[in-house]
Amino acid sequence: MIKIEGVSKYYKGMDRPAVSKLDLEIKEGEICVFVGPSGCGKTTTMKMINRIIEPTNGIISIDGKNILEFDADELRLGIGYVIQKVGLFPHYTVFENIAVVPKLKGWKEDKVMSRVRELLDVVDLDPDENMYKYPNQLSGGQKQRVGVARAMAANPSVMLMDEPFGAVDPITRNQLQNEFLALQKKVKMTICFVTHDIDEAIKMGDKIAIMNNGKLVQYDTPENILFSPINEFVEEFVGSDRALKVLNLLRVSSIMEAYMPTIRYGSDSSQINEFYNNSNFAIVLNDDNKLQGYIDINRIVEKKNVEKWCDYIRTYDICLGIDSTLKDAMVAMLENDMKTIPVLDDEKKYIGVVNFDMIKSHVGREYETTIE
Amino acid sequence: MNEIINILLYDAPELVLQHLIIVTIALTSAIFLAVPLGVLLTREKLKPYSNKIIAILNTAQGVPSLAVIAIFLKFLGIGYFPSIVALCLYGLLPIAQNTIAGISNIDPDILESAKGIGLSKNKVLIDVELPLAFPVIIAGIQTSAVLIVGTAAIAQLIGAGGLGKLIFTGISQFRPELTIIGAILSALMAIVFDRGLGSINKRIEKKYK
Repeated sequence: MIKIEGVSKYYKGMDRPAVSKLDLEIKEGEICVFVGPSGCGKTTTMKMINRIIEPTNGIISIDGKNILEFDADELRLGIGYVIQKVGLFPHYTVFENIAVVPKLKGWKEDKVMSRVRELLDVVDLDPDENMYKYPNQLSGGQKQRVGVARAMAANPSVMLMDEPFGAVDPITRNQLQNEFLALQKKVKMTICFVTHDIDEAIKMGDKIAIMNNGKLVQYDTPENILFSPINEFVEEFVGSDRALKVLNLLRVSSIMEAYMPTIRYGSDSSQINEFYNNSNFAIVLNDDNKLQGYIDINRIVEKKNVEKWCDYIRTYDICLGIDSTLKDAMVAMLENDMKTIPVLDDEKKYIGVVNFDMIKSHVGREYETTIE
Repeated sequence: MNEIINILLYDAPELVLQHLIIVTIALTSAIFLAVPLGVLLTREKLKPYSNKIIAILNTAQGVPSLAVIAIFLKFLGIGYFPSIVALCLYGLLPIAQNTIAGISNIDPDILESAKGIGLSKNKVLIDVELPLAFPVIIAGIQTSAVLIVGTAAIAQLIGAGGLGKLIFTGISQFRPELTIIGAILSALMAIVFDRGLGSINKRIEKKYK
């Protein structure tokens, strides 16, 4: 838990404080996103938490302990830190970069090695392939992954992230965001996340802190920020396309349904006749619930070839992960001209589908309930 | 022709060795003085003064090498030691300057992340700043080495020995072949120093650049 009480930061020669009397609490295991126009004090606030910048007055405490009681370097060793430009050490290999903090903490060599391998797996980089590369041999997205791995190296309970996904292309960014959220679900760090992108804030945040001119304007859940903006500034900052932004907030896991009948590959054709009256399509699965494709039941029956239904299986071009946002789902539908897309869990097993009507009705419902 | 071969076989080796010793001692001491000086001038407290101090050193570098040698003659007398002190001081500036340039040109994001993940100031200096500035520092040492090898010949005027002996004997005895041999050997030594140090940088470049 991070508690910020009455914190201000004055710089010499500035007519207003960079941060002014900030009060805020980030709960254990939550992502708090600081968002606002440039110069609003969001980065300054974040950097005061690990004492890169010292506050002029006020108290910041982590898990009830005033951060001034720690030695500054000691404090930072316990806090993960990721910045936009990553700042990997160019003269260190990927392994050495990630190993810096564990080594400083005096971990044994084999423990460091296994931890680095584990982390590279976690951020989806093949350890054997990448461990001994230098940063300049990596792509922007890979550098970011190593940056996240380095920050998590010594299991920090608190993590500070300054526009961590700002310097990569939109597709990679989306992917990194989704992966990071899936990761956070497992490790539950307390995260302070800075961005200027409200869409990213809505997607990543358990709570969003909107700042302007060094002051906290609204500190609330993404839903409330979207639908109950406290004043005109927030409303304007969120933008007029709130309905679209909701798409970033909701995950397919919350709306998907398993309404389509499923049939095992190679199974008896009698099932097909059963389906015929109820459904036009059926999902075909393997024995271990892996997705095989789908069949158009009407067509099979029309062709009077029910016995050989397996020859009529069509595959899906695209599937969604359970942590995908509704925006991901919409994009996938529009790009591939599909009305229904299957959803797979972390082990790539089939769990349900989403379609356009489900998204439409769900967003509409969300809109109404929150506004009331 | 025979005479030249004789000089090369019997006189030159000892003089080359002498020259090499003077240069090595002067260069090593210059490195050990200039790198810490450069580092100090990049620390937060001294940073504001670094430009002024470098300006002063720059002016000092403008003094002709002959004059520097002459000044040291007055204070330290003649011989090996005053020559080495003079040469060392003469070689300070390029190394100090490059140390400062090398450190201050490091990407600030790298330094911020180094600080942010918990490296102490000393750790940042030793593990990040110096290794990253190393190629630039080596380039400074290259410049300084060439400078010292050349100036060392003049240091013969206060009794340094070395290849300067060949050159000045040639001048005073009207034997231009001696002067030429001395000059060529001294130039070769400068090239060897330059290439040798340069190869260190190439190795680093292959590694991570």
